[in-house]
Amino acid sequence: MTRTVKVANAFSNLKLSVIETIYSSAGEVFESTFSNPILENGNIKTFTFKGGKKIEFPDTEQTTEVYYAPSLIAPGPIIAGKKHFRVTILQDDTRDYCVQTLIATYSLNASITDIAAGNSSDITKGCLIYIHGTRYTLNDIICTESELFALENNDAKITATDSCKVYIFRAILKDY
Amino acid sequence: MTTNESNIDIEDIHYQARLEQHLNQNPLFEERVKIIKELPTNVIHDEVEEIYLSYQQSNKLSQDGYYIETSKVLDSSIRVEVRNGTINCYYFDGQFVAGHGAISEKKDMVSNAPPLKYSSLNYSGNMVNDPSTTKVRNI
Repeated sequence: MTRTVKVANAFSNLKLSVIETIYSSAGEVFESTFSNPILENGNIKTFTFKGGKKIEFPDTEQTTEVYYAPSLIAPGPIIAGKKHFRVTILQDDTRDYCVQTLIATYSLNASITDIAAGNSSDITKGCLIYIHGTRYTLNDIICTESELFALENNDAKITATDSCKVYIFRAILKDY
Repeated sequence: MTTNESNIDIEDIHYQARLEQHLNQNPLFEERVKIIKELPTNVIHDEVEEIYLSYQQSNKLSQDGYYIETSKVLDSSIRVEVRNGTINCYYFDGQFVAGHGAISEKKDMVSNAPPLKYSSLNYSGNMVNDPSTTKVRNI
């Protein structure tokens, strides 16, 4: 049972970084308690792109959350400030990406777009995207695997040969 | 507010010097400093008194209860805190909030810093840092 964390890839122009974590085995459990949990998590988002995991909140009435790839984007605001949580890995080789803003004055806007086979979607540059799919084109480049892309310099036009799912992360200056 | 002076010999461990060096070498650091001034007491009262330093006051790390918390420093959040006469360093990588369990030691940030401590951390497996960078294609 090994939890492996890769080095974060940071993009100063996007004010974003992303880090991959790999859990080798189903049944791994991580449990933590914090005396001073972060109260705001508007600039950190994660999602599971392979495998699955379960998040429980002991000592609370909060519903257990289960994420299977390609998962919803977590955490929601309700997780902010939690003092105690337990994560159980549900499948071998479960993998997560965690995206966060590089600067605290920016929040992280995250969304998921589904593209049906044969359809296209245009995405304006200045964001980090993850495309979950095996047959699609990105600016006419044929892609055959799920991948992260940094749209630093160019807009993206994604055309799904088979249906695919696009995760979009964009740093937004907070409105104080 | 806590004003107890501790007996920490900061000079001996050179901790503050290294922290300041780190600050100087990272001009964006100050911009990223997030000072938490008003946390609900039900969250923090049990362990940390209600003193929160501004960055400018961080040279008073010798006082119990003082801490600074930053956000997104070199991919991580870092908290430097004085508690019960010990300087504690907490490094939270991006997955902390999601509960994926990421409190990681990053000695390269503040070399020879005191050992990491945290409230509670139980993990059934091994925690490994992979030196390879998360793969992203630039468009």
